[in-house]
Amino acid sequence: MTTAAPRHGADNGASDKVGSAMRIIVHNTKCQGHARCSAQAPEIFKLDDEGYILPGDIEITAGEQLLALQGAQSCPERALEVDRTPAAQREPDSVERGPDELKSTSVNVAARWPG
Amino acid sequence: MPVSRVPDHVPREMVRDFSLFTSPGMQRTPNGDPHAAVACVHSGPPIFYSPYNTQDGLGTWVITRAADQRRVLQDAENFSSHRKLFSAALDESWPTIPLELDPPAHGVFRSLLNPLLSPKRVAELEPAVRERAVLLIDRIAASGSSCDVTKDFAFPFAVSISLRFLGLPDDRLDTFVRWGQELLHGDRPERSAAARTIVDFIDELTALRRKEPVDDFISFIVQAELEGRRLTDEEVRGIGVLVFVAGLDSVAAAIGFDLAYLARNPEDQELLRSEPERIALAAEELLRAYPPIQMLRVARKDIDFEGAPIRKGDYVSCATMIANRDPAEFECPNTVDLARENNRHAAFGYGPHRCIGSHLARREIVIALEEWLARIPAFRIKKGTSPITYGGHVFGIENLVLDWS
Ligand code: HEM
Ligand code: SF4
Repeated sequence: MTTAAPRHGADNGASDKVGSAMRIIVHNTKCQGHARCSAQAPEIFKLDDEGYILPGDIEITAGEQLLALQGAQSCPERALEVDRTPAAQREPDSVERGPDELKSTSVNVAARWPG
Repeated sequence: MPVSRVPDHVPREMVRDFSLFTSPGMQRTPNGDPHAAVACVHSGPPIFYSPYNTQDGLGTWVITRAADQRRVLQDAENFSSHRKLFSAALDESWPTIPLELDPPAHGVFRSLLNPLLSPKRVAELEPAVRERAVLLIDRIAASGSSCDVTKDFAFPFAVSISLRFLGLPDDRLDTFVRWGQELLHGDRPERSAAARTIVDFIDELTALRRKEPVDDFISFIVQAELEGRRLTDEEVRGIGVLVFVAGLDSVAAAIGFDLAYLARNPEDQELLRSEPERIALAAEELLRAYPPIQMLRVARKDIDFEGAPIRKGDYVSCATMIANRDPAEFECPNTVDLARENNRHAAFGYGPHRCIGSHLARREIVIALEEWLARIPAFRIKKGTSPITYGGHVFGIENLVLDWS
């Protein structure tokens, strides 16, 4: 199960500034391959060959925010968490992980079937 | 109420006279609305005990809230799927696969089967699905201005797609549909006979494909390697029987309920006909409002759940038609709103057993509605006829005679 704490940013308006876009935290162990996220926004939510979301959090640019939000909110398993903390305020390691690097991560099938 | 069937550990005040099989509106009912009938549970407690709530008349706990159903269905460690519903009809005990396996064994088989029904694969099947829909609807349109849409379209369409997926010819379609009906809705002897017939059929097919593989589903299964070995006959049977049965009536039931709704709501019908780009979203709302399936789990240990003393071995029912009418999850749950957004309904279940056919089923439903509305003018329920609905393990609708004269 997930260990990441919810990180919804304080509603101070900072997240609306260009360049401080949001991030989608992907809880892979919860993903069951409904593919509703990618039906909303295939460019943002990429699936593997079995139809489950690729691992790794997804950085969202300012222009994609609405689409990303809709995609995250369409997940029946609640596997996609919206993180509005401005990038500058997050722990450094999570900021450095760019989307391209994440796409090449191989799929950890075992992680989906705990126990 | 037959209180005698209630196990001793169930507090009497948690027993309710409610059943997806025997409550009012669950038996064959002209002009019925079984989904609305079950929505009444939301005025009661989040969990209660129903003394008669399976095909065999066993008692189950009933989980009413969508959020609680998610908890149960996502938690295979406490709530097992290993209940052998199919083989019990034969007094045998092999599981259907992956439906009645728990993780981690479940995941191994899911990974084998997932690519065959992934969104990508389904996109490739789309032209064949559409061609089938167009052929059937054109034939109906050419032959008059009325038809029994379940018999003439929903079943032949859904079952032929399923047969094509399995690599079976269409010529025995009517026979297969009858087997499915007897299995899901027959009395105990009928069900046993149907189950035996289906098992023998899949076993025979398996033997044939082992000898001489062709390009079809069973051949894929018998040739597949799993953890360095071939599948056993019993495993092939568990998969073959399930995929055969799963495609027989769920999609047909969904299409039937959808067209019944549109026949009774001409404004929504016209909206989708004139703006077909709305159909995909509308189909989700219709899946929310009219889902066909009740899921069952078996408690693996004693669990206290929302004040209910669930004991090891108890059945726990998660009915999608109940979750989908939960007011805590859906605003105005009993109103059909074809433009509803963020529609995270439970029609295909939650957790590791999420319907593996969901991507195919969605495409079938959307294509059926698109092609039907494009080819059939304003339709209504034929005067003097009444569609028959029924509840149970899989809800359904029959005798849906549409008229567009
Ligand atoms: C509208 C149509 C359909 C609905 C509403 C539906 C619903 C469901 C539900 C609720 C489950 C979960 C059962 C559970 O957790 O106990 C399920 C599982 C399953 N469905 Fe469907 N289904 C539909 C169509 C199909 C089709 C067309 C196929 C075949 C290609 C299919 C194959 C399966 C299989 C194999 C499973 C077992 C998955 C597993 O246990 O991992 N379904 N379905
Ligand atoms: S909608 Fe949720 S469960 Fe489905 S693929 Fe996307 S993340 Fe996974």
